[in-house]
Amino acid sequence: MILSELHNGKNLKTETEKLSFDGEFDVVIAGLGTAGSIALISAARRGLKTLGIEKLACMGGSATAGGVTGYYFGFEGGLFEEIDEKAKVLQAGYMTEGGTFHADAKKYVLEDEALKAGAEISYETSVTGVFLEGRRINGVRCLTPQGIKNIFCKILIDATGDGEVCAIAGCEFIYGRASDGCSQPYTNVRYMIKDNRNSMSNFDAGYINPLDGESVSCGILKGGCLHLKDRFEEDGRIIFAAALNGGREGRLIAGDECLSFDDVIHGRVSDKPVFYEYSNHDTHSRDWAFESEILQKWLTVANLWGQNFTVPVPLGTMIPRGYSGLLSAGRCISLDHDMAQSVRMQRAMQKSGEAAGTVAALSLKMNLDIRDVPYELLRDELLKTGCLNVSFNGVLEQIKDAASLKEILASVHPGIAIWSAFISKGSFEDKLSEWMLSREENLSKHSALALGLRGDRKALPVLRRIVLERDMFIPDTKRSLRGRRMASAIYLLGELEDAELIEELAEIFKSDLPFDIRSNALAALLKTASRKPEQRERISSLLLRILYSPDFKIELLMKVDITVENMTGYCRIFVAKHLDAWGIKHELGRMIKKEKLSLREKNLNRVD
Amino acid sequence: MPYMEMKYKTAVIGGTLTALGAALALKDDYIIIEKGAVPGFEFAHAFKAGINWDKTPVTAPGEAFKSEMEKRNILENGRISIAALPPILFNMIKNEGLNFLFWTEIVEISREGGCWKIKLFNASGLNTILAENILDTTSGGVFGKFASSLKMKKINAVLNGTGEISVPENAEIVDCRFPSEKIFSVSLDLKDDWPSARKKLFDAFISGHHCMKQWRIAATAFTFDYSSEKGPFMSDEKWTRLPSTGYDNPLAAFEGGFTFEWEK
Repeated sequence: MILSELHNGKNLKTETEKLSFDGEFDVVIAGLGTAGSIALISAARRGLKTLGIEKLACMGGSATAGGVTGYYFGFEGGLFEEIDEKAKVLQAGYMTEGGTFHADAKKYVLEDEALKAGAEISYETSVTGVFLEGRRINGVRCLTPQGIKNIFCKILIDATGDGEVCAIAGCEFIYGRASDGCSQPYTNVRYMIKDNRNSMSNFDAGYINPLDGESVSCGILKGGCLHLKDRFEEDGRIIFAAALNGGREGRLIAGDECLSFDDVIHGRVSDKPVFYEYSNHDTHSRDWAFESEILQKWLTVANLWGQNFTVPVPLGTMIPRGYSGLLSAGRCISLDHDMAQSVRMQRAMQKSGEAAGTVAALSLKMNLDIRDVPYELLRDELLKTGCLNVSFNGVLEQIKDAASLKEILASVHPGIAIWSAFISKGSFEDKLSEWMLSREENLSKHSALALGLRGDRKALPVLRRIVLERDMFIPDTKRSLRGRRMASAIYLLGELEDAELIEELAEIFKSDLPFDIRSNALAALLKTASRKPEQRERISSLLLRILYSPDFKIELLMKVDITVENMTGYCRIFVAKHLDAWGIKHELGRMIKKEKLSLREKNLNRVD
Repeated sequence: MPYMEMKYKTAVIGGTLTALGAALALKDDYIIIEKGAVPGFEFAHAFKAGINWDKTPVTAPGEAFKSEMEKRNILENGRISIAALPPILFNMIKNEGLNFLFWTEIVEISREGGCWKIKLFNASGLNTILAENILDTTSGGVFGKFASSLKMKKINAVLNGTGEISVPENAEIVDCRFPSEKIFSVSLDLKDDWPSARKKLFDAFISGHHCMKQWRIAATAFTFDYSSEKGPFMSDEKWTRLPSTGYDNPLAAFEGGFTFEWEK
């Protein structure tokens, strides 16, 4: 038997002698947060001998210990609705008002239901090792308040949020975005009493690497510091300091199936979902110029940050590739970084837990590997509780007729029209070209954005005009994160490798215009230079003149405008890496103090 | 900023108020290891307001700490809004550059040469550090080795409300800094686990609610409210136990830690 552990970030497997376990269970669920708590109840109610392991002294994770007591989109339906109903009754009688649910009511009800179902719970316990026979799960080594214990299990569910247990088992995973290996910001919720009601304030505290103990510790410190006030008052007083940091993105396991944003948004989805997510692309990152190309098209050009869409999530995303007896549930399932910004909402994560607990039960009762459980049986179980909703009408409703397309392009919220035009390449070309020549400003410019997104260089004159006019129009989407039309046009100038506005883009990068515009100008210049070697010297020279200046500064305001991220060093490193790849000499290395790099700068420095 | 080096003069176990005070006195070559995410959890997350706040601080850092709590309006006339303490502590850690490692658990401690070999577990996995001395500020000791030294155990809740409040038979009510804030406290058996403790808390509150209808539970504690024997206790010449919950209140615990290390 093998004991698999993580030692200083590296997976280490050692042969162990036969040992006697301190306990034996059908299913062990590691992490009793949003997904794990529901997985535990779901599995226990189906008659399995279950053990829930939790680092804290309560169930519920972000919803209880983290103070996130409201839902953000997602579909209703499933076991969690019953929990919430019971929590509401408790709250109505004895607890402060406020929130979609009361953190402590939910905490109490989750525990009560788990124990009533016959589950065992080990609080203040962490999994430090996984026992394997080959790649078949055999059990876990845990650190409990009384010391180390070895527990046998047939199925292990990793609901730790950051895929810790899968990593300990040696599973493959990805982490962060391709450009700089970073994930999106974390939060540290302020949970307070305001106007005699429970209330929460959720904001972006900064960046951490959830795979690194020191980084996590720094993040906890930084987040905690942000709650200090000159003077605390009775109204708005803190009820509790969050017992855990609000991570939004950690490891994403390599599963039997993987959901990518590109696939999903193009409608290439599974017809065998175990639950649906319903949300917008809820990235808290505001540096979209460093995201993937498909995301930049969605966010920067079409301005669809606020556009909700439906994601069918299949079981294969919850099964770590190559392993038996192992499931993941929650936000560490198999997604790409882009998709991970959407598939992480509380309702869906609870459904994910329910799906994990249910399939574990079917697997053991039918004596089948998890992968061999017939989808129809699992589906029917999940339909019974409402975990799986029946009516799926596609990922996203698009515009298919010219009249509607024109109307929306001419409006102050053109995003879905721009995107529909992009997706339906081959259609509307003549119409878009005609509308681009219209005197109606929005129709003309939005048609140009649509054409540009389709790669049509006919859009260039209008795109250039948008940039030269410093067009700061922001679409009226009624959602919080929206970009300026100028940033959309700049992105497309890069995509279309436009050489005419190179000097102009350099001036924009140097200016004190908003970050989204400046960062897109930088990205567009580098993209043009990447694709057009003959422009490299010209672009490099312009950028270096700017970056060599000790006065050069560029900053990013994070969501809710509390934290500022200095992006000056980041931009210097970003450019330096491009110049190095092109063989262009530069002195940026002297300006980059390696011992003082921020987390994201260090990550970027490491990326090839 | 925390740093992980191979060897320290002192490893302080538990990110408690005592640990904070001790760290200020130690100045360097130490590390504080805390398994949770909140400093001073033994008071702040236990909703343990403490008693005997009227005693004058005996150290300069203690004076400064008390003064800050008063200035920020969380402490007045011996009444504290205990949940507001962590931001002050976090900023103390940052401003003083204290070497605090959060979200890190102790797996094992053994002897290696003249040092303690401490195996840790956190997001990076397993790690080992060495320390010449250990100062254990936790209530029942590492792995509950000294749980028998615990004198008392309670579970608390923060209430919000107005108006009359009568103390139920099986609970205590503690006044806090603000009139609309109180702590509801229920005594436990030392062997009560979390489900049993929460049940006792809710049962006590629900059965007594008719005497305090305008009061409701805002939150329940994340850690037990312990009272321990007051240290220091030398388990070994190089291992001292100084439970933070051996002190009456956060300020006393802070000064206790500072004084202990300062006078060594």
